[in-house]
Amino acid sequence: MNSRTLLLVEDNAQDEALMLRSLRRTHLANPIDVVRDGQQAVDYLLQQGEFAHLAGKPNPTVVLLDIGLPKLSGLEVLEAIRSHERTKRVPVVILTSSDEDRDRLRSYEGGANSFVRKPLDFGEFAQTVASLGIYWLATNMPPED
Amino acid sequence: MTRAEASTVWDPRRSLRAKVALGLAALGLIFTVLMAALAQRVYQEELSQSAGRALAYSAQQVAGNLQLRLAERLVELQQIAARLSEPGALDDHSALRRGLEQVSTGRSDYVWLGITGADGQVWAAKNGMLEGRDVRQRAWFAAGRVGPFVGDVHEALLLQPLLPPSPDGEPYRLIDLATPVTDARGQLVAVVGAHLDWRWVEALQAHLLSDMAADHGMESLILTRAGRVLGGPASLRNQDLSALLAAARDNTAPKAQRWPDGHDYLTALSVAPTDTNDRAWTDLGWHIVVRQPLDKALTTGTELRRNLLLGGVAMVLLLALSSWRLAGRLARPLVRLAEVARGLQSGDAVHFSDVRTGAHDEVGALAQSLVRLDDLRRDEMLQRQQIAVRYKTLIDHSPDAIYINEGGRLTLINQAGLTLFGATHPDQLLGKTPYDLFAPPDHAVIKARVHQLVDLGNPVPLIDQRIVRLDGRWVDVEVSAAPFETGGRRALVVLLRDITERKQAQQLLAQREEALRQLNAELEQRVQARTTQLSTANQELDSFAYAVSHDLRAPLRAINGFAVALEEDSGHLLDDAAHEHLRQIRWASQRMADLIDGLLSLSRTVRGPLRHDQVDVSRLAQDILTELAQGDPTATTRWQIEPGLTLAGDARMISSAVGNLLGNAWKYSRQADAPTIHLRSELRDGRRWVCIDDNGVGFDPAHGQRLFKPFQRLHRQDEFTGLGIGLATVLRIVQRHGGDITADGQPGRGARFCFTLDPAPPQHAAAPTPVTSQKDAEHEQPHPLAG
Repeated sequence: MNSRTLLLVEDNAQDEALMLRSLRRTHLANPIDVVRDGQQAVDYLLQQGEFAHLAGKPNPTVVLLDIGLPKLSGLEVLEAIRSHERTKRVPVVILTSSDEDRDRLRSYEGGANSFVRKPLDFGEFAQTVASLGIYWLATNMPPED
Repeated sequence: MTRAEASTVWDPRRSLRAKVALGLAALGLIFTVLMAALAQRVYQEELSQSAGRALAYSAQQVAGNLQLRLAERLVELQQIAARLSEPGALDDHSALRRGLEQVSTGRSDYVWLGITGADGQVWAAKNGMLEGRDVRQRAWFAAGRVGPFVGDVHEALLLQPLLPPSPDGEPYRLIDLATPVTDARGQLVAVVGAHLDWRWVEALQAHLLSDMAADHGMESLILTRAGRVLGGPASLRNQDLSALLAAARDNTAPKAQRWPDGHDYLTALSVAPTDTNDRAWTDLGWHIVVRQPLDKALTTGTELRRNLLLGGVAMVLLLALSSWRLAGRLARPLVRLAEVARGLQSGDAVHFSDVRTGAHDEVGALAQSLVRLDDLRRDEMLQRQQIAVRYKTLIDHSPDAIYINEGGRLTLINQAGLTLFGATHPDQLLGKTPYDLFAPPDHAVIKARVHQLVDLGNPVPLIDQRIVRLDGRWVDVEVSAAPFETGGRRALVVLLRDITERKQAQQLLAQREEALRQLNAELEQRVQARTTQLSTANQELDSFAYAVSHDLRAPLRAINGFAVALEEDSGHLLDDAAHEHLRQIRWASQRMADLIDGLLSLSRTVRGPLRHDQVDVSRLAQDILTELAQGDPTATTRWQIEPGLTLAGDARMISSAVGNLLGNAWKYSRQADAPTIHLRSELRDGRRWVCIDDNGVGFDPAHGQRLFKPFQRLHRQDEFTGLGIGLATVLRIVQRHGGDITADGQPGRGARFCFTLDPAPPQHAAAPTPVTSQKDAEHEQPHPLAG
C-alpha cells in the first residue's frame, strides 16, 4: 500500500505547504510527490526527462492538479496524461482557485475525475484536502494495481 | 364677311327689301307686257276686222255715190231728152244751144254738152263746140241711139283742141254720157251727149271719203274692169293692179295686202253692184278700192298697247315703290333682328327682346323664337363661361405647366408654363413645335410618343425630359401627355412639372448615399476594429478575471492558512490580543476573497452571448424564496407571488437578477415585524414591469443613485453584510436586455424595485441610469450581495 503515491502538482509554495500540512494531519502513510509546474508533471507521469529514473515505477494513485501552472497549464497536463496509454486511466483531481464554469467544463471534458475548488478559509481547505486524500488514497479503488 | 363690309357695302342681292321690290316690279312688268301684247293681239284682230268693215263700207259708199252721181247726170240728160221730145223742140238749133248753155251754166263738170241729130251731125252744143260736126263714128253716139249710155273714161279727142287748157296741164279725160231723144211715136230724132270731165269724178271721189277717213290715211281708188287705176293717188294712176284686184275679187272680205309700193295696206274692194239694174254702171265695170296703211289702220291697237304698257309701267313703278315700302316695313324688324344678332356676334350688350316687332305675325314669332333661342344661348353661354372659368382657373393656378398641342403646334399655355419657359407672353410660345420646346436629345423619344398619342391614340407613360427655355437654358421636367379630340382632330394636352429640385435632391441623395455608403464602410471598418479591440479587451478581461480569481485568491488563502497554522501551532504562546489579531487577519482575507468573487460574478453575468428563453418568473421566484427560507430557518418572512408571470430573455441572467432582488428583499426585511415580500407585474409606459416590494428597512432616496454602483453600500457591514455588487449586477443584466430598472424607497418603509426587459418606447428614451424616487425619510440602505 505504501507504494501508492499521491502526486501534487502545485506551483504555489504556500498552497503546497498548507496542503501538505493538511494531508499530514490525516496520518496517511502514502508518499506524496510534488512537482512545481506542468512540464515537470508531464515528465513525472511519463517518466521522462529529469524523472526518467522513475521508469518502471507504478503510476501515482491520484494526481492533484492545479490549473494555473507555469510552462504547461493543468489542462494541458491533463491532456498529456489522457493521451498516453500508460497514464490515461490515472485518477486526476483538479484542485484550483478558479470557480470558472469553463475551467470546470474543460476539466471534465479533458477527463478529470473530479473538480475541487480550493476554499479560501484554511479550515475548509484543510478539511477538503484531507477528505480528498483519504478518499482517493484509501477509499477509491484505482483502475490498476 | 365681316361686319364692316356688311355695313358699308349695300348689296341689293342681300336686301330682302330690294329683292321683294324688284321681284314684284319685274313680275308686274312681265305681266304688263304680256297683257299688253295679248290685248293688242286680241284687239288688233277685232280692230282689223272693224277697220276692214269700215273700209268696205267706205268703198261701198264711194262706189254708191259715184254710181248715184253718174246716174243723176244721166237722168239730167234724159230730162233734157224728154224736153226735146216735145214737137218742135228741135227746130231751132240756136234755142237749143241756149238751152244747153242754160243747163250747164256753173257746171264745170260738163266739158261738152250737145245734141246731135239722128244722123250724127251736131246740131247744138255748149259754147257751140263741135256744132255741125259729124259724130256718127263715136261710140257714145252709137250707144246713145239705143239707150242711156255711160262710156268709160277716155282722153279727149275732138274736143282737146277746143277746150281751155286743163288746170293741171294734163290732157282732158272724159266720161261720155248719151241718151236718145225720141218723138211721140218713139222714133229716134236726136241724141243728147255729154262729156264729163274726169276731174269731176276725182273730186267726187275725194269728197266721198270723209275727212276723218282721210286722216286715218284711207285712200280710194277707181279701177277699171281690167284692174288699171283710173282715179286715186297720183302715184298709182294708170298702174296695173290686176293681180291685187284678182286677189281681192277671190275673197271680197277686206284684208291686209301687200301693195306694189311694198307697204301693207288694209284693202277693201267694192265690186260693181250686181243687184242693180243700172246698165250704164254695169257697163262701166269700175271697181272701187279703199285702202288704209295697215299701221294706221291698227294705230289704235298700237296706241292701246302703248297706253297699256305706259299704264302698266306706271303701275309697276307704283307697285315697286309700294312693295319697297312694304318690304321695308316687313324687313325693318328683320333688319333690327339681324343687327342685334350682329351685335351679339361682336359682343355688344344687346338683346333680341329689344326689337319691337309689335306684331303677332311671323316676324313676331321669329323674334320670340330668337329671344328664346338667345335666352337658351345665354344660359348655355353662362354655363360654358362658368365651366370655362373653372377650367381656366384650374389651369391658370396649376403649379404645373400645361399646354395644348394642336396640329403639332402649341396653341394654349398657362401661367406656370410661361414661367417655366421664361416667357412673359403666350405669343412668345404660340405656334412652337415640341422640337422647339424640348431639348434635342429628347426629340427621338418625343417623335415616338407623339406618334403613339396622335396617330394611334394610345396613352404614354410619365417620363423625365428636358425643355429648352427661351433663354436657351435646359430645365428638367416630368412630362405627361394625353390625347383628346377637338374639331375632329386629335390634339394633346401636355403637363410639365419642373423637377429640377427633385433632380438636385436626387443628385444630393445619391451623393449622400455615396457618402453614407462610405461612412458605413468606414463605420463597418471601425466596428470591425472596435469589435476586434473589444473582443481582445474581453479576452484580456477574461484573463484578468481568471488571474484575479486564481492569483489573488492564492495569497489570501496563504494569509488565511498561515494565520490558522500560526494559531494552531503557536496559539499557546499568544495572548488574547494576538489571537484577536489573527482572527482579524482571517476575516479580512475572507472578505477580500468574497469581494473578488463578487467582482468575478459581476463580470461573468454579462459576459457571453445573450440567450432568448421563456422564463417562468413566478416559479423561479418561488424556488428562490423557498431556498432562502431553507437557508434561514429562523426567518418569519412571508411572500406573495403573482402567478403565471413570464419573461423573455436570458434565463441565467433573469435568474441572477430575480435572485439578487429577492435576496436583498429577504435580507433587508428579515428583521421587520412580519416581513413580507411581494412579487407582481404591472404595465407602465406600455411595458411590463416586474416589481419586488418588501417592508424592510428601506433606503434614503437621496442616495438612490449609489445603489446600482458596484461595491457601493448604504449599510455598514455590521448592519447588513454584503459586497454591494448585487444591484450593480441586476442593473447590468437589465441593461443588457435593453430594459430599465427603478428603485423606490424610504428609510423604515421598505423598498420597491421594478425592472422591465422591454425596450423603452421611442418617446421615453431609456434612462441611462436607474431611476429612484422619494419614498420617505432618511435611512441607510445597503445593497450587498443576495443570499
